[in-house]
Amino acid sequence: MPAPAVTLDRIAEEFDDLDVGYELDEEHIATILDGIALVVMSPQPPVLMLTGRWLWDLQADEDVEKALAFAHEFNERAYQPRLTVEEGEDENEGTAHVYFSCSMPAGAGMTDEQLTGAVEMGLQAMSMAAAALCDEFPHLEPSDTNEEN
Amino acid sequence: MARFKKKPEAPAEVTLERIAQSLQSKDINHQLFESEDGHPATLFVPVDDVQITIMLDGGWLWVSGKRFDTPLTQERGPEVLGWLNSFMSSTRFGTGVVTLDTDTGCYDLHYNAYFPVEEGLHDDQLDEYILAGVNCVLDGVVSFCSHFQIPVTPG
Repeated sequence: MPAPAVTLDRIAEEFDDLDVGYELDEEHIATILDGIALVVMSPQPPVLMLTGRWLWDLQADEDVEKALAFAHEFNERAYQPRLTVEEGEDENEGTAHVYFSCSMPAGAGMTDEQLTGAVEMGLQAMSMAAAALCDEFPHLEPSDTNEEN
Repeated sequence: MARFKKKPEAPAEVTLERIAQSLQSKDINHQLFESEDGHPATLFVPVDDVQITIMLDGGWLWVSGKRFDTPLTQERGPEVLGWLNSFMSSTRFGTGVVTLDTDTGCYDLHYNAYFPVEEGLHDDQLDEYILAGVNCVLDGVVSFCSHFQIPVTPG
């Protein structure tokens, strides 16, 4: 394999280079960035997947329907991130959130340049999507502002 | 004598020719279509009756599967969008969207996978990207048709 394996440590170095604070353990990297709760799971199976949750709660039915339509329209015009809307479970039942994902195969490894490009582009695309959502839902407030770094 | 570490070989630019070679090496049937109206060249890859296309667009590898002329009308929009959203939430790759055909009033499905390739790819990376793209697009189109009980090719 000509390219080195993608590991959480290598991804964390990319976050360091971008001056993005984070928590790292054996299974994932987690951070809050631009109103997004971001998680990068250990690339096993070998997929580089950046997943984000927009921190704003969607509780009214009309907001959930509007978010579904927004996500569909966004997915039609943007290559990434992919937007989905997911209902909460257990104590979060009755609340939905918009999720972002940027993913690509990583089984054959990635060079430093490829990894830098993927992480930078993914974070930038998610921030832009979050900003677009804020414009779309000006009447909502973020639910977890106390988690902001 | 000092030993110098060999610098890793840089990934090569991704071209349709390299993609075609990758498909060829896996005995995957494909055909190159060169547009005369300025649109980018496209590889057609029919798999299990699903017409899949592969193209390069501004540093992205774009794999797409389509199902035109579904019998699903605009009234079923919430159901269709809800299913696509739920299906995507359970998958790693692929984005499904529908567009309304203004002539028929029915939805067309576009299931896409986009991967950044601006930094180039080694051969094994390219093989992996193509297989991931084709498989997720195929899964998206077939699952959509199965759920809505329509054949994968228009009748």
